[in-house]
Amino acid sequence: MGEPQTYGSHQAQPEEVLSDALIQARKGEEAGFAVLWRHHNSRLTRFVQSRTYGSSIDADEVVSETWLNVAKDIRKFDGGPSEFSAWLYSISRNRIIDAVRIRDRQVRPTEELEEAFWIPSPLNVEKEFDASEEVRRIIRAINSLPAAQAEVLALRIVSDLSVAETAKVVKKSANSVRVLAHRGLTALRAELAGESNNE
Amino acid sequence: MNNGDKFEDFPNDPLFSELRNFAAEPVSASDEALIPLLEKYRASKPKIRRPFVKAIAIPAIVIGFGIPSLAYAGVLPKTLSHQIETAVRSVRHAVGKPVVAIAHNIASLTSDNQAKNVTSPSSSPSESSGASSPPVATPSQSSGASSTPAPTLTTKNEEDHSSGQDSQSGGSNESNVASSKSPLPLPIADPRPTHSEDKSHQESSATPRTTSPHGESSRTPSLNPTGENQDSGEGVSVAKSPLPTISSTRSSTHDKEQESKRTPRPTPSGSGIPSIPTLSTDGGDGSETDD
Repeated sequence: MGEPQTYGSHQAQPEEVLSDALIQARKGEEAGFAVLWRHHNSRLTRFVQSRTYGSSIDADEVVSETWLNVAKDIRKFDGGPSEFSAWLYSISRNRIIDAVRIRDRQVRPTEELEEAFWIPSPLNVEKEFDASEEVRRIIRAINSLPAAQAEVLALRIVSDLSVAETAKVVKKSANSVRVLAHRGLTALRAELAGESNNE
Repeated sequence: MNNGDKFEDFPNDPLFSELRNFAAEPVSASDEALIPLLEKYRASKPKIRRPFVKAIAIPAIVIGFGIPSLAYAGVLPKTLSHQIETAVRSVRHAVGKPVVAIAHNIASLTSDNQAKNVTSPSSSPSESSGASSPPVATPSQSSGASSTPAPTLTTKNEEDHSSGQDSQSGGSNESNVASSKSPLPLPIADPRPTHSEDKSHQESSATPRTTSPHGESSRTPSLNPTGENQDSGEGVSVAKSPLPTISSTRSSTHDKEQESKRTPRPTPSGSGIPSIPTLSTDGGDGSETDD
């Protein structure tokens, strides 16, 4: 069980290493899969945390489901590291959408019940989020934007994806992504400026 | 372009510097989180062939067995079922042909091996006669033996036995004829269980034929080489045909023609027609050797 500790490091890997790791992972070698996991897991977790911030959705569960999907289907995947990033974030995006649907179907507990049994709520999830106040403020501002704009900004800033990769994830054209990012950025700046003025 | 480049570079805006730093921080996820993923990764290996099996193999089996069975059951339209039946027949033929060829090759190999065993010096004459007995059943070999006159056969066979070698083709008949005439009582009990059966069959089948005049006419030439088949064919024709006279006359004339064709065979050897009664007086063996 200590075997995974020998695979690479948690730091970002150069393009060649990721390409080799992807080839290995497609062939069925666990070492390649572990390298990919170490490279992408942190940013993927941050992306999911930022997208699910303020909701009752468990970010860790979404991340683990995403990786399980990747582990199941990586042999069918065809592409390079850039395509893999887009594929990975599109899976996580779909898992977030599924989690939101499941949450909306469930019966929401009353506030008294939440206080009595400490059922996970936006308040409790916020307590577990290990980020500075400034980061939380920016994430709250991003999530207050329209969903498409917030998604594009999160993918561009948090996940550090390019316009082309973001377009693949959200299944839109590159120009649409640029427009959404521009509008979202303008609205975000205005909101952050308004918040600072209010303070 | 400059505005576009600036816009493309907006994630590097100082406004998002803290968010970028936060995103770049490694998550405190231990490697234990990787273990279930790797287990899932391993478990996904055998699923590679499933799509092929589901998409191609199972439907092919279902179609290959289902449609012919429907055709034979008469569910499908007649024209379609007829086509399917012909297709099934052709497939059977195509599959059965190589199987028969392989079986024939195996049989020939085994007979070759038996012949080698027989020709080995350690084999006794009884073994040789026993080993050479199976070819007697084939009519072609027996007819080949019948082409040679009996006296010459005896001498040949004696020579073969004296030399301890036995040829595979026709050797059984020769040895049998020799055994019937040679002073040494060779154990040739085997020669023709089949022929004796055939003979008894002929005799038993001959009784109804004696009642019919045409049966007698066809039966009288006991030297008829293909008497078994023709007799059986005649039996069927006599039993089933509404006009027995026509069929019997045809058969009788056919037999006579065959007799006339067969009888001249011994003549070139010099023995001529008189050799025929001697063969027939040999009993069932003689008549069968003429086959």
